[in-house]
Amino acid sequence: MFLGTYAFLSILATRGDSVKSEIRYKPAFATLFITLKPGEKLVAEAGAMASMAGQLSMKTEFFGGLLPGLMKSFFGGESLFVNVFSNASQQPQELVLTQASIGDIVRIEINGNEMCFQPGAYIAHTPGVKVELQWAGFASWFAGEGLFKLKMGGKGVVFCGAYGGLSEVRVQDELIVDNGHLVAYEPKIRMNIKLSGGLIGSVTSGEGFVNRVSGRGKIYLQSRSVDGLVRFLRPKLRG
Amino acid sequence: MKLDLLHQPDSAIAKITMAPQEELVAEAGAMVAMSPYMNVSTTLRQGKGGGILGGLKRMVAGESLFLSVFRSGNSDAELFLAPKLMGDILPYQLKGTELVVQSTGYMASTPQVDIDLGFQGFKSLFSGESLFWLSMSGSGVVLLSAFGAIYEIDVAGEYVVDTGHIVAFEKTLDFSISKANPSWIGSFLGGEGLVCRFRGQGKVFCQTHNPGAFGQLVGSKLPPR
Amino acid sequence: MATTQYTIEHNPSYALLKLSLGAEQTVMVEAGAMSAMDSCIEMKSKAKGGLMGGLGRMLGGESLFISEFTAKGKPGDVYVSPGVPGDIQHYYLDGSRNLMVQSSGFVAADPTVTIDTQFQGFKGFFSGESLFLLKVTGEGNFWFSSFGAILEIPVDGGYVVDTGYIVAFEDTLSYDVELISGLSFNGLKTGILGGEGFVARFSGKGRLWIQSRNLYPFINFLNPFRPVKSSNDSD
Repeated sequence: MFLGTYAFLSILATRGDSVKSEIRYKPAFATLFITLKPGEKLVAEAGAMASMAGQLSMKTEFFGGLLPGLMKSFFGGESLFVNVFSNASQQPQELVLTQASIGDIVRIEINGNEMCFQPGAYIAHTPGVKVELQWAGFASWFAGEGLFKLKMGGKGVVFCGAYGGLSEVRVQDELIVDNGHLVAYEPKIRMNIKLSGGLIGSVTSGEGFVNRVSGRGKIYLQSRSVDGLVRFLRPKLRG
Repeated sequence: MKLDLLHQPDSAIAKITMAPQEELVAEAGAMVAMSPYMNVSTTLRQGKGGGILGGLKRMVAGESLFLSVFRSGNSDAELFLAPKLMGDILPYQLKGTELVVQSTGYMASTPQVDIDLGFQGFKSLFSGESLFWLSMSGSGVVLLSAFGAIYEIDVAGEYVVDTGHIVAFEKTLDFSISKANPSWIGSFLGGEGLVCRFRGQGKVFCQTHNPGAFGQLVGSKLPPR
Repeated sequence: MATTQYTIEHNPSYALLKLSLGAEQTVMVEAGAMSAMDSCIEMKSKAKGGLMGGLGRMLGGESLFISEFTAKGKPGDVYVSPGVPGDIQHYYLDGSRNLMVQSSGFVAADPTVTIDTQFQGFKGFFSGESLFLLKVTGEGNFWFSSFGAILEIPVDGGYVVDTGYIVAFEDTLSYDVELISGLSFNGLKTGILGGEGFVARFSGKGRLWIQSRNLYPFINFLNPFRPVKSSNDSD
């Protein structure tokens, strides 16, 4: 009877509906504790595995095929490879995933809606999710964010993470966001990247580029940025 | 002795309240603050790996050369200890069992704990992660520190841990180092490199984050040295 | 004047300070620390305290400039994210005592608060830390940052703190720096920062804030990951 239940669940799983996950140690050390049901699969960024049950198997693949993988790695700031974890046993098995950065992780359900991700934010997704690389524009590239962005659609679950804590913000009208703090956003959100206060003001204020985000929709902001950390550390280093 | 762990897991700091005539051993540099009457001295651990040579070995292993000994003297005393990097602290009670600890994972211990340097079980395959391992025995409490939070796995059967995520494990476990992937190429490209396969009965303590990966992420953006 | 409304999220490791300004209200913020704001907020960058004050701050490890945020016409929020991974602490200066803060600890303040850099002389020098402390005077709100979590220690009598962990203290406390050889491993010329065994011995009665991490071990840890300067690189 149990086997029957699992078989049924695994059908759901192959449709990319859901995966059992728990995010522990939020926000600083957020870590994904995944339970894969028999037959279930999860795709994760290369290097994300911290530990796992001995019965799980892992296979390395190009991120969406060779050419798309190359594009994603070269332009999207993601690794060229992903690891596909699958559970061929008859019991649920545990998988622990993490990110190189220390910081927060969120689970985002994709079901007809779409979500765009800044380079480096992607951690894992269920097989039903479609991953696309999209043109982000030269302004984005000038601001150090990359020419392309990752767009996720289809049906399933995406996990993304960042340095710092993550806050979901609903943009109603307009919000100014310092570059390096935007993690993910709905595609209908418009962006306008510019110098924060004219050329001179931008240099002395230390803010550089800011992003004028407008429209209505959901965005995710990170409370701290690696660039901010680097700026803080620079004068304290020795030779 | 009373132990309070504050700000777990990210900025964990240990507050130790000592009764008169109590003693605690900690890695040099772990002291944050203390009562004004605390007596502090430096020790070179005796035993197989003790003495100057043991200390040097420990220095190579990323540990500081000296251990500090804190004595409360005639009155109650308070002591704050913190790990070097951001992360959690885990108290582990030794009861005749042995615990193998990654060299940077040791923070402090009560006086009856024996610290043996250079547990050789992992050989050179492990280099790149951590050169040396410590073996803890005797009785008392060991305070372990980690990069990230610490989660405990009760191994029954087989469990796989990326080598960059091991903090400590009980010596009752068998282990072998292997590639994460069936093929060498996949293993290398998949970014997982080497993993440790634990078998048998016992506990493994894992850290949620890999210090090397974070060091690479931030360090590569810093000005050249 | 209106009291500044604020909330702190994601602490202790990644504290984010949200300042809710009333219409026409102004707040001073550490340069480069703004992470998001409403579009009605105007940002101005200035060398606070004149040129000399700015220079003093630069020597003290701070930016020469301070950003000033003003809500124009209607209320608005400013989000402040310091570069250092750690917590943010609020302190209200009531005019009866001043606050001493480690040199890179400034996050935000009301414009009624004055921030000066104070040379600590040999006391500062021997501690191996920065020679400067910020002296915060006047009346109003002040926010400071830490590396790691902040712990408040109510000192009444005496307390000993490793110099690498001091965040701030009320100036009703006095301190002396001394060396405790039992804490030192500096004689070995390990070439790493920290570990000199210098401590500050506080006396008097007042509040002291310490942080749960020391910055130097973190910098030592990151050092091997830095790119290596090539021989023909002039930079």
